[in-house]
This record gives sequence, C-alpha cells and structure tokens, in this order.
Amino acid sequence: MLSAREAGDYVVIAPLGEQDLSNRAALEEQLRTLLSERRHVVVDLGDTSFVDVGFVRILADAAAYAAAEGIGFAVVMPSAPMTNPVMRMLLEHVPLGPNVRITRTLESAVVSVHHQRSELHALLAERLQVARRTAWTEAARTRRLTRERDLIVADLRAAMERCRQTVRKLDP
Amino acid sequence: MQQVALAFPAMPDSVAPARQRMVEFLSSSEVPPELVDDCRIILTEAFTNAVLHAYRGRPGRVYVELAVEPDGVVSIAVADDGDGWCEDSAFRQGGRGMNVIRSLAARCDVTRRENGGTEVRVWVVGAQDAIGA
Repeated sequence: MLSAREAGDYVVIAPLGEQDLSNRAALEEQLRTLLSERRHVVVDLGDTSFVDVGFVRILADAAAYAAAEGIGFAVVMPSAPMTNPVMRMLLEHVPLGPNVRITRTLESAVVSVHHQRSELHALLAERLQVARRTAWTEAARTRRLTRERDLIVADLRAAMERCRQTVRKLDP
Repeated sequence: MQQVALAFPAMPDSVAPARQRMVEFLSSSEVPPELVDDCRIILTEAFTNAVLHAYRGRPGRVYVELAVEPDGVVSIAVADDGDGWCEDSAFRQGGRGMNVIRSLAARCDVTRRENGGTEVRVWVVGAQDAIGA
C-alpha cells in the first residue's frame, strides 16, 4: 500500500507495510509520474516494515534521475538504532547510491529537498550568467568582424574605382 | 528435523504469503529472530526470481521447502517447473537478488531440476561459519 500527500511544493510518498514484487509497480509508477512533472519528492519509510532488492533499486534509479534533472529527492528513515533490522540489513547490502539523501525525520528531508532546489537555482543562475557573458562576447566579436568586413568592402570598392579611372585614362 | 513443503502460484501476489508462511514456520521452530530476518530476505529474492524468470508469462507454480535441522541450520529451497533460468539471466535483468542471497547465506546452490525447472537451495546459520560446499 502506498500513500501520497502534497505538502507545499513537494510530495511525500509513504510506502506502508511490506514492499515487494506485488506492489513495487505502484511505487515505480508514482515516482515516474511525479518526477516527469518535476515535482520534488520525499519518500517516507517510517511505516515501511520490509523492502526487497527491487524496491531499493527503484529508489536508487529515481534518485539518480532526480539528481540529473535537478529535482529534489530525499528518503526518510527511522532514527538510529533503526527499528527495522530487515530494512537496515537489505539497505546495507544494496546501497542506495550517492544520489540518495537519507534523513532521520520528515522535517530534515524537506530541508534537504529545499536545499537541493536552492542548489539547482544557484546552478541555473551560474549557467545563465555564463550564457549571458558568452552572448555578450559573441555579439562584440560579431560587431568587430562586421566593421572589419565593411572596411574591406570599402577598400575593395575604392580599388575598383581606381581601376576604372585608370582604364578610362588609358582608353578614353 | 522439522520441515514443511509449500506450493504457490507463480504470481507477484504470492511473494508475501510465502514469506508469511515461512516466518510462521521458523518462529514455531524457535529459530532466532535475527535468523528469521535473513530468511525473509532470502526467500523473497529467490521467490521473486522464480516468478520473474521461470515461466515467462505462462502460469506455473513455485515450490518452497523449509527445514530446521537439530543444530539450528535453516535450509530454504525455492524451485519451479519453468524453462530454466540461470543467475546470468537474473543479473542481466537488473536484479541483485542473488548477490544478496549469497551474502546472507552460509551456502547457496543453484541447480537445474530434472524436469527442466530451477532450484535455489540456501543454508542459513546463526553464526558466521560457512557450510562446506
């Protein structure tokens, strides 16, 4: 079973009870939909009693996609010592990967998601600044080349005029 | 030695009931909870592999044999009558289930059954001592 609730600009997904082959498709579909809509996602495992390898892989894949697309993604796990030895054991054997930010509480996860969003905004601002600088440099270069072209054309016209005058003098 | 043999339809919805039946059996056999936790993961991954790879969409059954030996060793066998899948095919499809099973088990054998199906047989012990292959 899977519950989802919107909270501001992010969505909290809470897989309830045991998660295995019988219900992993619902999680995968939900994550795919939310991430394709560029929604920030917090996966709350506080009420999840069991997960299988496939479940962990879905989380890792979603986190990698979110990181690549600049979408906030965090996972909430119960505070240490973890109350669920099965989940702890499985997650030790199948690491979620570097893209997954694991927090102890929902509040921390939300902060993490907002932090990721801030990082994204900072990255976009930096890229925009670089793009503007490049555009300005290219525009200046274009103006300089245009001036040089105009000078060359003027020189060519003057040379052609001198040639015509010379021809007229030689052959009136 | 206490043992039980079970059979389930090869469907995703069978994974949880199989796991539940195993937990009931192991608990009634006084297997330590931490060992039961290992077995929950092992059975789930082996059963999932059978459902995903054995019958390729055709209906079929998954057989589970559980035994608790007098020295506390738990053996879990998950078998099918399918077309025969190997660990390579499971890995190719992105699964890491067999890796997890091997890391938790004292010994793990994957064999081709005479009727063409596959059997994954795993031995789990409380201590870290592995069983000789």
